[in-house]
Amino acid sequence: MKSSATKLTDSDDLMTPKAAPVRRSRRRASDRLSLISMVGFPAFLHIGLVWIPALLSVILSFTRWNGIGGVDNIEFVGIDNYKSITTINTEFVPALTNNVLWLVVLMAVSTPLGLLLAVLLDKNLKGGRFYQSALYMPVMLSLAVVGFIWELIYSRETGVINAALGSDVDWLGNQSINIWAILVAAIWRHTGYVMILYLAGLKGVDKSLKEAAAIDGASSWQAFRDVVFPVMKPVNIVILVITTIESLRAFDIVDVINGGRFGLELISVLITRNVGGAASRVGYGSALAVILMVVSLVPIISFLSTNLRKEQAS
Amino acid sequence: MTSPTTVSQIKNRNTGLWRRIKHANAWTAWFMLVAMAIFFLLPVYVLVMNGLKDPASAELSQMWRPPSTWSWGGFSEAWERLSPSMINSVTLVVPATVISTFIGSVNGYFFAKWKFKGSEYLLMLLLFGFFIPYQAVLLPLVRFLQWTGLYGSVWGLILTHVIYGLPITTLIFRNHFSTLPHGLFEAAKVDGAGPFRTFWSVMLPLSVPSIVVVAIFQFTNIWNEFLFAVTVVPNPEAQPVTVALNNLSGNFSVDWNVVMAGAVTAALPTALVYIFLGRFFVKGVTAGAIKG
Repeated sequence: MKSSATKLTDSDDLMTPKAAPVRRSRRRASDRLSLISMVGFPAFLHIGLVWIPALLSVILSFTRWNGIGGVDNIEFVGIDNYKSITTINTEFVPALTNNVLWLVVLMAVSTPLGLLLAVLLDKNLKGGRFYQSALYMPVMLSLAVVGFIWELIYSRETGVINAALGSDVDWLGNQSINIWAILVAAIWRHTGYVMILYLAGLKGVDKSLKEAAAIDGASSWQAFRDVVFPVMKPVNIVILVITTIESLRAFDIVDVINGGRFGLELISVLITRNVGGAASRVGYGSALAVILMVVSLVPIISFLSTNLRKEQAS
Repeated sequence: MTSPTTVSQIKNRNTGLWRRIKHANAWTAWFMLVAMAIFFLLPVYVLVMNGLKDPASAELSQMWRPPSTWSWGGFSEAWERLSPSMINSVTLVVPATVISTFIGSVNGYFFAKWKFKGSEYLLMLLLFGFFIPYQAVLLPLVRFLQWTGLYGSVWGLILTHVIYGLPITTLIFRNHFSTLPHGLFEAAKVDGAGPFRTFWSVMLPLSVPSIVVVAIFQFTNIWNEFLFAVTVVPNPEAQPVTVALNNLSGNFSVDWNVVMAGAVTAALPTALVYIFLGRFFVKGVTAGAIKG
């Protein structure tokens, strides 16, 4: 009892299910309706809670407002906020550089490291569960705790690194190295995330595929490169997205360590200082947020749009 | 299954040299895992060891030594001070995780298997929402929640987390569902299953690793989230554990053993969830379930 009206995948008329004389079709129609509402309602809320606030931020970025008074206190100032950010604010360029550095380093180190660990763990080695838990441990701790632990590790007088190396380096105070020290902590935390996502991807690869490749005489590297990795391509997109997000939202670690100053500036820190602090400059903070948004959206849009469209075409 | 699967599978190619390379690989793999595990566990060691010290001996210069006298004092005080907010966190995180995993799976299914004209743009619109810095939306968000009357309540916070988690949960599920062979979907249709039935009885059972990953991911993130928590729920009595944990070290005289024990205590639920769900995770997809 299949009718052409119930063709699910390529019919464009999801919204108007054709009335079919079969009872099953009617059930499917109600199915569709509830499915659409289950997708539509969250999407609607998403617009209300994410997009509208974001658009408001864009509008606010062209204004001056202390955030306390009513809406009629808002004063339009054009691109003044952007001008003063890029010309006067001396912390802006270091913050932007650090954000980009954060992204690049997490991509270049955590991604391959996480993948490697996931591949190792996928082999069901002895004690694999233990290592898997150990590697995921940092993710379980809140970022504030992570910052606090690494503060102890890097401490000049009592830290374990100086004790082990017999050195006297001010890891977190020296402005030319502190961002790198923090990035080690960020990698430490982020790798567990990447590992678990890749591991889920690897577990999802049908075992018979790997076996078939093995029987064909492929080495494990070949089997991985030709069989496993292509299947895991969707996971790569997830990891790209999550890594970008992590580097955008990076805040707590530097906030705990020194409030995000003296070499540890991040855009998120500057935003918080302007929007939340005593001198509430909502317009200025919003402009910073918009810059961060644009910086992150550009690579993601270009990547996703080419990627999704390619998928669609295939 | 003690050795890598591929090794046993290609026995017929086991010339001496080949086996030796394989063997060396296994040792390197093992060595790497041990080294990484130490690197990853070192900070946790500090937390646990100092949490078990008495207040006098938990000082910064002794941080790396194990306690000379073991004491549960740190943990019991941390528990006393954190437990009310731990309960707040549970009532927040459990519903938020369940709802957001479920909605994410439905959305992922929709975007993977119900492609229609423009669906990829809708998905992209959803995804871009993920890249909006939290700090940028706080003020309008608070206004919106005040307007709906959800401001200050745990449901407001749940709603915020579910909606802000929607892009990533949808993306993970969508990407997973799109790797499932289309034939499965067609077969279910031919057998007369409606879209929900296909989703529930065919797609979801094949998605255990993704469900587990999303649940772990959301649980951990929401549990450790700070910014939304302090903003959306200003009442200290109702705030989650991250805020309370922050207050532990915020005092003038810091009892390091309490702070460290507190950090461990606050992380325990995420560890339990991970260990519990990880069980399903390791099993992976039942072998052969998706044979064309």
